[in-house]
Amino acid sequence: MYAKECPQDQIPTSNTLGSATPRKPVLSVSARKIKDNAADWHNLILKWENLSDAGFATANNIANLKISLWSEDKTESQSSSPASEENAGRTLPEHSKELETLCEALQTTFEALAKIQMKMEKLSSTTKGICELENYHYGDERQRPPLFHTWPTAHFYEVSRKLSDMYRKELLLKRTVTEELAHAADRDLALSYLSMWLHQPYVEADSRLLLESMLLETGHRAL
Amino acid sequence: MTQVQPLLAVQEALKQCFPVVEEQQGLWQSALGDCQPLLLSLSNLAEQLQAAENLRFEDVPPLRAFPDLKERLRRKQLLAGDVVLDKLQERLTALLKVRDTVSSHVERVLQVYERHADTVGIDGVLQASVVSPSVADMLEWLQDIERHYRNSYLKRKYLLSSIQWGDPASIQALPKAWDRISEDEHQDFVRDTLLNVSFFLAE
Amino acid sequence: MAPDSGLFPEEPLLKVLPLDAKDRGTQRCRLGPAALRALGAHLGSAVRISLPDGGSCLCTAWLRRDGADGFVQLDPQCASPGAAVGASGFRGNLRLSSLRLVSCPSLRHLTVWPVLREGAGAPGASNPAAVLEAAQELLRNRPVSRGHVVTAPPGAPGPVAALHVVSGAPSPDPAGLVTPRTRIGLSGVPPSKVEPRPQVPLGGLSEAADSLRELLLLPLRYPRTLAALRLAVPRGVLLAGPPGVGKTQLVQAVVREAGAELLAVSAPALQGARPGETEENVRQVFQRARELASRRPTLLFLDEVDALCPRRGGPHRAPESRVVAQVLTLLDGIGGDREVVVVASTNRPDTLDPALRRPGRFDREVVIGTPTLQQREAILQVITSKMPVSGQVDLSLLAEMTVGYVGADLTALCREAALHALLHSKKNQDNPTIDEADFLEAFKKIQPSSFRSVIGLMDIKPVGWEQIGGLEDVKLKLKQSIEWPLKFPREFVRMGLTQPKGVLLYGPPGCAKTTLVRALATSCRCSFVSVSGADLFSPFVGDSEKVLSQVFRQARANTPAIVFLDEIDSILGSRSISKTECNVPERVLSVLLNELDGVGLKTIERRGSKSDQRELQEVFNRNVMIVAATNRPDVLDDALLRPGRLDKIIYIPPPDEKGRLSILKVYTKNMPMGPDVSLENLAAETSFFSGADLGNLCKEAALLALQENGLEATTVKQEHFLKSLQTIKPSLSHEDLTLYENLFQKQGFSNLGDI
Repeated sequence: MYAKECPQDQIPTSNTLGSATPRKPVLSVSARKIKDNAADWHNLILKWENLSDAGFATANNIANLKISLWSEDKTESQSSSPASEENAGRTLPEHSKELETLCEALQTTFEALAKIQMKMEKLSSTTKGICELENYHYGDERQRPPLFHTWPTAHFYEVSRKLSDMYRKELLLKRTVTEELAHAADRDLALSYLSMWLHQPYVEADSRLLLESMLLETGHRAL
Repeated sequence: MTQVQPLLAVQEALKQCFPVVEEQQGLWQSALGDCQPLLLSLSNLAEQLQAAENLRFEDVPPLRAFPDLKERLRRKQLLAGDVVLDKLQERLTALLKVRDTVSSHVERVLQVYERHADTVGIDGVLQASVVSPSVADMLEWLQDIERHYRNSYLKRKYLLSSIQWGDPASIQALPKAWDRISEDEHQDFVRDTLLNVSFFLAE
Repeated sequence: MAPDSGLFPEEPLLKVLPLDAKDRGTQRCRLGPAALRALGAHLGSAVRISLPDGGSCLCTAWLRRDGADGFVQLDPQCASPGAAVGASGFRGNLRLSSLRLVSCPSLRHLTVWPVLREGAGAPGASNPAAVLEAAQELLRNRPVSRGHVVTAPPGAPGPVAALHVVSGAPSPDPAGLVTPRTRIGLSGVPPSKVEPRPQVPLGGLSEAADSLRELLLLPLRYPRTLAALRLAVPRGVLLAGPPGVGKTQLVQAVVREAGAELLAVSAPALQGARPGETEENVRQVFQRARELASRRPTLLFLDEVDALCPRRGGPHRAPESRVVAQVLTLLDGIGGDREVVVVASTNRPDTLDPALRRPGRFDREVVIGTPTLQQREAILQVITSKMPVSGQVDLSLLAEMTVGYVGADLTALCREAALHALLHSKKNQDNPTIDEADFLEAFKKIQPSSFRSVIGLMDIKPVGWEQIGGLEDVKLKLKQSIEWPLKFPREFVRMGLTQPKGVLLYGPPGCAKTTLVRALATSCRCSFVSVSGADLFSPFVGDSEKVLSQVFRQARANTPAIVFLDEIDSILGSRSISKTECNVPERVLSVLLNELDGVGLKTIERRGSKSDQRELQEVFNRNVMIVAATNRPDVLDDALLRPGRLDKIIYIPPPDEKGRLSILKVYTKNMPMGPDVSLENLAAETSFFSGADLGNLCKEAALLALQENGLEATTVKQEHFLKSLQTIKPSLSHEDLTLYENLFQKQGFSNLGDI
């Protein structure tokens, strides 16, 4: 898990930001907004990662339960004595109940993830708004100074859009996993679902790079 | 009585060497201990890789919406694997350092002995007492210890360098293969040797 | 303390003990303190040890744990090439003088030639950096000596199996120490080749060997010519021949001669229990061959390939079909590779899948048959060349006797003879020689292996011609028509005579037909196969014919041979007489007719070389003689009796008076006779008695004597004979005899007239 190794703590959000960087009071409104957005991105991704971890633990339990059920099935079909059938009759509802609770937990996690993803979309659209505003202010003129160090304003939007796209796709995948994991028909499938949840294939490797460079650009990270 | 002085010098060198071995053994063990969970996660990853490999994604209806999923998943899995491998490499470097430290110290002791060998003579190195094993024994032990570290490091290094993602089955067997290296070599050998010389060191 | 050689007034012997397990790979040589002192060595000194086999090894001296003197343990990790293998199993004694303390300066530079592990699997195996690193690890802190080989301990990982020490600075002669500061270089060329491996001489296989050699050596010697000719060199050879003729040995010898690598695999060993396992194994073998071939020409030898590639297409043969397909694919694939020659051997080439035998896979088929007379002599010469055989032993005679023996049998024969010489000649234990008697003794014990499974093989009780009374002219005729062609084929060829194929003996029952054949077999000293109706008949359709043709096939493999068909009328019958359309005897008959003068030989039965005129003594197919016996010649099929088949028809008449006398003499030879017994009278009185009847008569008389005089009876008197004559009636009658005598006469067989 990348988030775990991420050493830094939460970056202060907009409220405390002004006092945190007193040396640069002369940020324009757009710049401030973008800086806040960057911090929000960071925090949202951190939250996402934490939730995803929690979800993985739940999903792992579901998969393990299913796998143990299969192996029990196998041993039972081999030794179909009445006693074991009785056993099965008793344990099966227990198991299904446990499975149900786990699935509910996973569903809750997923919903929380969905909320975060919505916020990401919102962040992305805010950034777009700022871009448009800037465009409106300065027109098409290319000579406009960058808000921070080097990035043109449109670049922030690009990064935001890329990130939110990734997480949108990832959320879709996570929904599939949430819905299908408990119904996986064999071990390979269950394991692959788990793996998908864990490795988040749609959150590409450069997402971290994008985020970090944004943080660097906006001055959250010192060079 | 001419041989007493040089013998003492050799014993002194031995006395300095064994504590180093003891300290390095601690480092060695802790580095080995760190490797175990890493290898386990590698083996888990290999299992996941294999599961995804076995699965025909296009045959699973819910996954049809994600055409490039298989490729993406594999890429991320391999990425995760590389991270683990990097960490293993760090531990391996730690092992190498232990090996080199022990080697250089043992070499130094043998050099001291070489210098005095003719004056110490055979009888000198054979002298043993209740508290002190003979110099011959101790030199042999040191040589054995040094070789033990060297062999063990080599075996582990070759094992790790044999990892190929194309062969998940062998990666899944890694933790076992790793353990087997430990089992094959006389595990408590270093500890036993250190126990044998404890009185000698305390003297 | 100074080394004190005075401690050892005479040179002490050090007993070599096996190495402690934990010392393996340490290059230590553990000695007692006295020896260490005598050498002037201290712990860890380099010691060079000369081994009794001429090799040497370099070790570091250490003390034995128990401090006992008089023993030595050594780890020959750095040793001269030949000794490297042998020394680990070496037991015995070493003189102290064969140990020598050598100075061991630190080396600045060392060049080694690495021997890589086969199929190390790791992709870095051929990577020079990996090899260099492994070499450094292996050599670290070791004393080495120029010309020695440092072997990696068997369990050690890494791509390097051994390192030849080529050179160094300062030159590691006699020794030099590798330190962490020694620069190690890899040499591209192996140090000068070790002396060529000893040749295993091959007896009588030169033709097959040439064929193989050509395949192996052509691409080696003339690569450019072949490339210019755009020739695809054949890459596969199928060796066919009965077990024990030396297929495996031939391959080994040729490989050794060519200096190629041999990968010998027994095909049955590749069979796996799980589905797909066999294919996997086969793939691995070919992979391994390819790896070996990357270094030098390689011969992949698949022994008993019929187990792997049976004919496809039968029911329940799906797994086999997959294996066959796999082998075919691999064989086709190997064409592109360089210098892998695949040789397969089988003794049942007919059961192989035909697809395997087409050009491009096994292009060439070499048939090695049971050795002929001259081949046997050559083999015997090879085997006995290193044995102390006395000068009187006539190898050509021995070769003549060992009909049907393959190389393995001959080896067994010689071994048995040697054993016999060792066990039974007490006279000179130190210097035993093997003489003719030993061979004859061994000859009794060792049966030709190709003959073990023959149907109807007889162990005949030797019967001499003289043991059969009377019938002198019949005996002569038999000798003429059977023994002579077998024994003196050269003379027959000189006279332009074709040899008779077969002989029919007919005559009334009990007139020594079978005994005559036995005597014949004894005197011919050839393979003798007897087939009776019971051997042939089987409830399964086609089985009888198969058995019969197998009998002939095996007999042909063991020429000269006599096939004896006793009571041939019961086996065959006649086509004209039988009513039903197609019954078993009739089919058997047609097989027999075919075997008698079929078109030719099956190719796999070929023996010797096709063109060699000197092999006239054993021209194949000619030397199987069929002797049939019947007492009902009238029912035999005419086709069987025409010339070229059973062309000699010999009537064995009931004994005449003179004959009866000699028969009686034979029977009463071991009986104590009363002085009054007149065998002449008896012979005169016993007309129409057959030989068997006469035997019975004598037996009866002797029994009567016992009956009358109790167990103390000492002699058989004339009265006993006369009395038993009254009870025993002749089994022949005049009508019978005239029938026999007229049978062939009316058909114009003139040779009956003089009987």
